[in-house]
Amino acid sequence: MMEMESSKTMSGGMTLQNNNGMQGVAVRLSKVTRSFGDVRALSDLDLEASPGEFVVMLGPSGCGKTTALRALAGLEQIDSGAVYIGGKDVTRLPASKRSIGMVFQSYSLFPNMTASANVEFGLKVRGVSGAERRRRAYEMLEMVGLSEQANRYPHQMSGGQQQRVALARALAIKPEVLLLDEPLSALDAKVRANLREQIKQLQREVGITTFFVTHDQEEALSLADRIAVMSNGNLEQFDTPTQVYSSPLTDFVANFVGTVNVFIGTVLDDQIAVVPNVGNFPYVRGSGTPGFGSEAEILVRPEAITVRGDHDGDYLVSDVTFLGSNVRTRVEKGGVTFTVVQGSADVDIVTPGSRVSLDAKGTAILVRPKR
Amino acid sequence: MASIIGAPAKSSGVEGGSNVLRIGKIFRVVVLGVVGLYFIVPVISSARFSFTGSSKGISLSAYSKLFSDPQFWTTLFLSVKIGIGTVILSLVVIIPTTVWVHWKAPKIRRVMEALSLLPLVIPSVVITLGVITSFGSLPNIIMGTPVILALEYVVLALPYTYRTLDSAVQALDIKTLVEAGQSLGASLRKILWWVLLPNLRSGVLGVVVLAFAFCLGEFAVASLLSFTTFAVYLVQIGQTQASEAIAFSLIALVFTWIPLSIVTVVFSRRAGKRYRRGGGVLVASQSITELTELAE
Ligand SMILES: Nc1ncnc2c1ncn2[C@@H]1O[C@H](COP(=O)(O)OP(=O)(O)O)[C@@H](O)[C@H]1O
Ligand SMILES: [Mg+2]
Repeated sequence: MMEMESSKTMSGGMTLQNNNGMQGVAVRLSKVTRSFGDVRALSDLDLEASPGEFVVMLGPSGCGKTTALRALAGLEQIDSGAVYIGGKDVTRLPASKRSIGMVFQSYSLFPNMTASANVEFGLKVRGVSGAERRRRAYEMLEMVGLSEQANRYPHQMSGGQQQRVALARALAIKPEVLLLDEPLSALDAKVRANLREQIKQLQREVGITTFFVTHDQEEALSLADRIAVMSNGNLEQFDTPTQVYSSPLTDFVANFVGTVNVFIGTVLDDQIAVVPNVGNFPYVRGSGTPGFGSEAEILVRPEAITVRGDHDGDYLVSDVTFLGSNVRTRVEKGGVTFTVVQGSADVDIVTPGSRVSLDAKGTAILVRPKR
Repeated sequence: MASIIGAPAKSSGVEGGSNVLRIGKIFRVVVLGVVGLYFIVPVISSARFSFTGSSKGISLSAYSKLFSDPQFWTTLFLSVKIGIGTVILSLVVIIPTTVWVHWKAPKIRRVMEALSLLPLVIPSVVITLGVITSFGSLPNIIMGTPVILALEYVVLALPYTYRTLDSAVQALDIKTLVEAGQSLGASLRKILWWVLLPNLRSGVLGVVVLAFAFCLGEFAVASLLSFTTFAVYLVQIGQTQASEAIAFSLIALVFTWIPLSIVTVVFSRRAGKRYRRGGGVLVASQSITELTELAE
């Protein structure tokens, strides 16, 4: 069977919004703490989403993303703190009483039921009549482009199709909040990219407040209205993708989201940091920025520098990768690797093994004391 | 489109694989044949013996004697009642336990498995003596009635029944299924009936078959507790009347297989239609009234 992930997009989506009248609600986690033995999976986590917002929780494996999502869903007890959905305190409500739709990382369709029966399940639980259930299940399956697969069992569907049915099943009950825990991680790259787009489009159309967990920074940057970057049960930064990428608040965020190059240079004044033989990088002062004149580590994105062929250059080219519209060049100096990404059109042709110089082009994302 | 892709793939491997396949097939037939003979030959010669006895010529006397023997029917009925009671009790105990272990405490799974094997390690005679000395003072409602036998059979059959259901549950991602159900607003009861039991059908069927067969064949404990069950009566007859005893055991074979086949057919037909409900558990649960009868 071929994957037809992209051929049918959410055709019924636009009408759906009108029919459902789904309104996003505000969601808030307040000082939520949860420990497993010695492991503090969440410590005093504060997180909120405005009505209809798409929040992505991003962080390395084991940082507490799933625990936070499960606390929101009511599937995980919390030690302290509170959870609010639509202004209501739901901390003590079990999962079955909260108005949530959840899509799990592992395939979670009921194996004994067809796609349609799976989507109908939540409605059946709520006592919706058979005819109405089937009508609605068809509508939801059509929305995710799977109405022709309605009578298939999960084992007869591809992974991507199963996750789309799971999404339809979660939305069928018209939940107030949609929670997705790495729903794409089990799929291969192409399907993943397609489905990611579909989820985003669907979320826009339905307007439901959404929390999406991932450890993939590219996924986070492309999906989110706001990204919550987490590490070790703490919230490192909670901001728009642009801000998280270009103005990371902490070292952790700078390193985890996107690629960074760490140059050694000096702080010139309150606007410029200098890297010898590369140039001046504008930066924004923060609480941890070292004083004027002192040596510092200057963190620069791959797009903020360019490569120039130069026989006397300081840097040795180790790798050149053509990425279509971009070219990624890796260079090396004194055992440290730097990555440069430039548009294919304005790149100086260099080959591995040749010597080059680097030039400053953009801004530094962070300037911190030298370790 | 699928057929176009499928067609060339089919022709490619056939030539090379055919020999291996054929040899494998022959081997399978031979093995199955030998094993089958090993089971069938004793049954056939028993059958012959039961129709001829020590005298020459064919006679049905062994069978007619048995069928007109009222004790044959009462002991059979007793064993069936105990069997049904044991099946129901086993399901009621084992299903929630295995589901709970896999959902909430997967770490103790090995421990539970080891515990379930204990009846194999401790001789059933020892367990029975323990039951007699420990529960001898219990009210007659349990101790003096076949209920005590059913209770003990639930434990003694655990090595077979628990493991059967445990591996069926293991094949499911219980935690995710339960939580998906909860997130859709379902109560645990609905999740159990609509999601878990239909997916555990084969495991439940295994428990039914194993527990029931165990009850019909068990001799030592029943005789120690002075119950004349089907198996006990069979041994009693065998001590005096050889051909009747053989006829008896053939009938026992038939009586074991008929209910088990019915259960199996009921289960697989439901499975064929569409996975739907808790399935054949219903078959068993209808007989729960009989269990209360046992208690009288
Ligand atoms: N049920 C549990 N029992 C014990 N430790 C757990 C349990 N669930 C999560 N943890 C621990 O809590 C931490 C956070 O886990 P999790 O929220 O699953 O992380 P993530 O989803 O970000 O990978 C990890 O160290 C994990 O080992
Ligand atoms: Mg996780």
